[in-house]
Amino acid sequence: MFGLELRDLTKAYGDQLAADHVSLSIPHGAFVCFLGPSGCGKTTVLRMIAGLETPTSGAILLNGKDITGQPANSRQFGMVFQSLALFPHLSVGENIAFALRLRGEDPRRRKARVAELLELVRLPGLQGRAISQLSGGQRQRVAIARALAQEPPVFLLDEPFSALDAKLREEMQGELRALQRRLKITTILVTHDQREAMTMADTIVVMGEGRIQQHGPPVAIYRRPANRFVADFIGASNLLPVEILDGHTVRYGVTALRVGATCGVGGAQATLAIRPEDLILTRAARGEDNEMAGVISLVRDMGAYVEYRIDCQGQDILGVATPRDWIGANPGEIAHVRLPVESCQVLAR
Amino acid sequence: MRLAAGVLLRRGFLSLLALFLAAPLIVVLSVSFNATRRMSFPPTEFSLRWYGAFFADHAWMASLERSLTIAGLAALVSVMVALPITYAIWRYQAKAAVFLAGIGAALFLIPGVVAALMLSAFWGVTGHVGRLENVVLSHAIVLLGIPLSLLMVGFRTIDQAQVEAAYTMGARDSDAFRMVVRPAMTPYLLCAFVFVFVLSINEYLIAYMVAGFTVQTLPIKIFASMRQGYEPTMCVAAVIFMVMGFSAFGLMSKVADLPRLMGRTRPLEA
Amino acid sequence: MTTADVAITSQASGTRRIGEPWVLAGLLTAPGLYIIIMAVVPAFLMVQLSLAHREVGGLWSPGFELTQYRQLATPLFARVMGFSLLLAVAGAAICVSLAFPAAYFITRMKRRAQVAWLVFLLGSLSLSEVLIVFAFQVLLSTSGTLAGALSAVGLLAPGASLYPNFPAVLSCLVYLLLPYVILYFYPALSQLDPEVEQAAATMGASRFSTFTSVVLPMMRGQILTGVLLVVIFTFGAYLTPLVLGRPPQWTVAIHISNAAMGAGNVPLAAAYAVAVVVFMVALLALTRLLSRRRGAEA
Repeated sequence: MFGLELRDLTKAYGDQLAADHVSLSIPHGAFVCFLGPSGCGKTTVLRMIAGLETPTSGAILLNGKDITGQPANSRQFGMVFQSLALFPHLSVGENIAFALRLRGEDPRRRKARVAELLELVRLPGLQGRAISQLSGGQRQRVAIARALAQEPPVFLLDEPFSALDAKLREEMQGELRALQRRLKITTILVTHDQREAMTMADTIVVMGEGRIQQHGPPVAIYRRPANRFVADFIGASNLLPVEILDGHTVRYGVTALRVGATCGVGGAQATLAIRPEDLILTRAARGEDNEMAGVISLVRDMGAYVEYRIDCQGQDILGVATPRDWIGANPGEIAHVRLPVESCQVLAR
Repeated sequence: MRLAAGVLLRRGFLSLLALFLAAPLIVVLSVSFNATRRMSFPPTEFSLRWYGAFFADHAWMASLERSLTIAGLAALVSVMVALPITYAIWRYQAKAAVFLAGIGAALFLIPGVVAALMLSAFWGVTGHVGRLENVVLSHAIVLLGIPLSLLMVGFRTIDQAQVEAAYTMGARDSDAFRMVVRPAMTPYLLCAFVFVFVLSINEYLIAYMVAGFTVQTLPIKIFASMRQGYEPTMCVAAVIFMVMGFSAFGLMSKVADLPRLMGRTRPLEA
Repeated sequence: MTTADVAITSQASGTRRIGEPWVLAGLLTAPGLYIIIMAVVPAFLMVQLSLAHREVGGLWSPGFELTQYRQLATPLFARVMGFSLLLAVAGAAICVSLAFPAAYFITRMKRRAQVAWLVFLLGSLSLSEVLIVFAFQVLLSTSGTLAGALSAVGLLAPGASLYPNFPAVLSCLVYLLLPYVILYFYPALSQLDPEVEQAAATMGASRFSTFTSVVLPMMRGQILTGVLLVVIFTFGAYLTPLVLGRPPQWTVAIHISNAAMGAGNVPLAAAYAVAVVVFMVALLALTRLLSRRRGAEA
C-alpha cells in the first residue's frame, strides 16, 4: 500500500493506555486531522508516528514497509511542535538548513533550498533574521519551512496554531492547506480545535480515551456521529435519553418520536442526538410528527443567529434559529419544537 | 505625600545598605593608593608605589599565580563533574544523578570548617599531602553545588522539543548535543566556571587546612602578613581580589541573563 | 496543554530506553567516583576519626572509643556551642530583616538597576573572608576612619580601637552574609505575582500593609529557611571571630581548627565537627517540624 498505515498501535504508561489499538490507513497525499479532547492520546499517536515514542505493541508501515523499530532520526518525518521548538541560537536560515547541514549538503545547495522554502512560506529574504526578531505568525512559517526542508515522506504537526490569535490562526490554516495541496504531501495534524479540523482535513480522526472513536470526511463526522462521544465532542448536540420502542420509534418522556433507524432491541435505553440548527420552533402546534411543547427558558440573540433553550419534559433542549426564522419568543412563553425525522440519530447509551 | 515619603524611605534604606556594603572596599582601595607606609585614612598623598612593590615581590606573585592556577583548575573540574550529572537529570531523569546532585548540594551547605576537616583528614590518610592538586580537588567538590544549580537552570531553559525536533531532522544523540544543547548551555557553563573560579580564589580555610603550609595561596599569604602586622602591599592584594570579582560578574552580566541565572523566571521589562 | 498532556510528554521524554543504561554509565561513572571518593569517604572517615584513639604528635590510631565525645560534655564546649548559637541567631535576625526588604525592593527595580545590584552583590559575596576581615580591621582600627571620626566627635577616647569585641564580630558577619541572604530571597520574591499586591491595593491596603499582610505571610516558609541558612553559615564562621573578637567570642569553628591544627588532636576536632553536623541536622528537622505544624494549623 502506498501511504502510511497504523496497525493496532498501543502505548501503555504503567497500566494506563495512552493509545489503545489504533489502526488507520492514510493514503499518500492525504490531510488527516487527529481531533480530540486533551489527554485523549492523539499526541501520543503522533509522537509514535514521528518515532519519538516507542509503541508498546502494534506496527507502523510506510509504503508497505515496517518502520516501527526505526528511530526518529532515520524516519525523518518533518514535524512542527506545539512550542515550535525553533533553535533560538540559530538564524532563520540556519534553522531551516538544519536537516540539510546534518545531511552534509554543500553550502550553495543549502542556500538555494533555504531561499526556495522561504519563498514557499512567503517570508522571502528573512534568512539572516534572529528568531527573537520574528512575530508569532512568522515563527510559525519558519517552523513549517524547517520541517519541509528535508522533503519528508510524512509531515506532522502537533497543535501548531494553538498559540496564535483567532484571526492569524485562520490565515495560517488557509495557507497550510494550500501549501499541502500544492506539495501533495501526506500530512497529519493534531488538534483539539474542531473548527480547525473541519476546515482543513480530508479525513478527521476523532480520538477519545486512547481509541479512535470515528474517522471519515468532516461532514460525515458532523452529520452522522458514530457514538455518543463523537456527537458530544463535535459541535453542539442535544443528547436526549430515550427508550427504544421498535425499529423506527423511540420514546422520550411521554412523547413517541419517529427516527430513521434505531439500534438495539425494544425496551433498551438509548440516546437521541440532534443538532441545535436542525430543530424547528413554532409558536403554535402544527400537529406534525415529532412535535413537543415546551417553555422557552433562555433566548440569546447573537446577531448572526438566535440561540434558545426550550424546556421539554424536564430537559433543556438547545436550538439555533436564523434571524429570519426566529419567532420572537421570550423566556417563559410556551412554544413547540419539532425534531425532523431525518435529523434524529439514535446512539447507544 | 505619603507615597513620596515611602519612596524616600526606600531610597534611603537602599543607599545606606549600598554604603555599608561598599565602605570597607572603599577604605581598602584608597589606602592602597596611600604614599606612606603607615595605614591612614583618608590617604594623605596619592601614589602607586605599593602596586609597584607588589608586582615586584616574588612571594606575592607566586601566591597570585598559585591561586589563579588552583581556581582555574578547580572551576574546570567542578564544571566537568556537574555537566554530565545535570545532563543525565535533564535528559533521562536518572535517579543516580539526582542522588549525586543531592550530595553536592549537601556538601555546599555544611560549614566550611567541617568540610575542611573532612578533606584534610582524607588527604592525610591517602598520604598525599601538601600538594596543589589537593586544594584543586577539594575546592572543586565543596563548590560543586554552584555549577550543579546553575547548569540545571540552564538545562531547564532548553525546550525538550528542541532536541526532539533535531531528531526528526535526522540528528543523532551526539549531533543534538553538539548542535542544540551545547550552544544553549555555553553561557551557563561560562557563568558556572567564573563563579567557582571567583569563590575558589577567595577561599581561605579549606586551602589552609588541606595544604596551607606548603601551598600558600593569596588569601593564606594575606592572612599570614596580617598576623605579622600591617603592610601596604596587602591592600594591593585585596584590591586585586576586588577587581577580579567585580569584573568577573560584570562580564557575566554581559554574556548571560543574570536575573534569570539567579533564579528569576518571571519576565522582566527593560 | 493540560496537566495530563504534560504528564504524558514528560514521561515520554524518559522513554527512549535503547542503550540508555550504557549512556548513563558513561555519563555518571567518573563524576560518581569523584563524588564518592571526595565527599562520601571523607564523611565516613571523619566519623571514624572522632572515635579513634589519639596518639602524641598529632597522630591517631584506629579504634572505637568515646574519649573525645566525653570531652564534649564539658561546660567549655556547652559555652562555645551556646555562644556560636547566640551569634548565629543574632546574625540571622539582623541579616534577614535587612535582606528581605532589600531583596523585595531589588526585584521590583528596572532590569538595568537590578543587574547592577546583582553584580554588586555577587562581587561582594565572592570577596574572601580574609579580605573582608582585613578591611574591617582597617576600618575599625585606631588610625582608621570610623574611630577617627568618632573620637573627633568625642564619642570615643582618642587612640581607642573599635575592636576586638562582640559588635565588631557581629557587624562583620552581617556584612559577609548579607549578599548571600539577599540573593537567597531574590528568586522567590521575583516570582511573586505583582497582581497579588495590586489586588490587595484595590481592597484598600496601603503599600506598607500590603507588605506586612500579604508579602510577608506568603514568604513565611522562605524566611524561616533563610534564617536557618544564616545560622548554618555563621556556625562555620572562622576568621571573623578570630581576628575581630576575643577568645570568649570564639566560635566552634575556631575550636575545631585549633584542635586539629594547633593542638594536633584530630580526633577531638572530628568529634567537634560531628557534633556540629548532628546539631545542625537536628535544627533542620526541628524547623521542618515547626513549619509543618504551622502549615497544618493554617
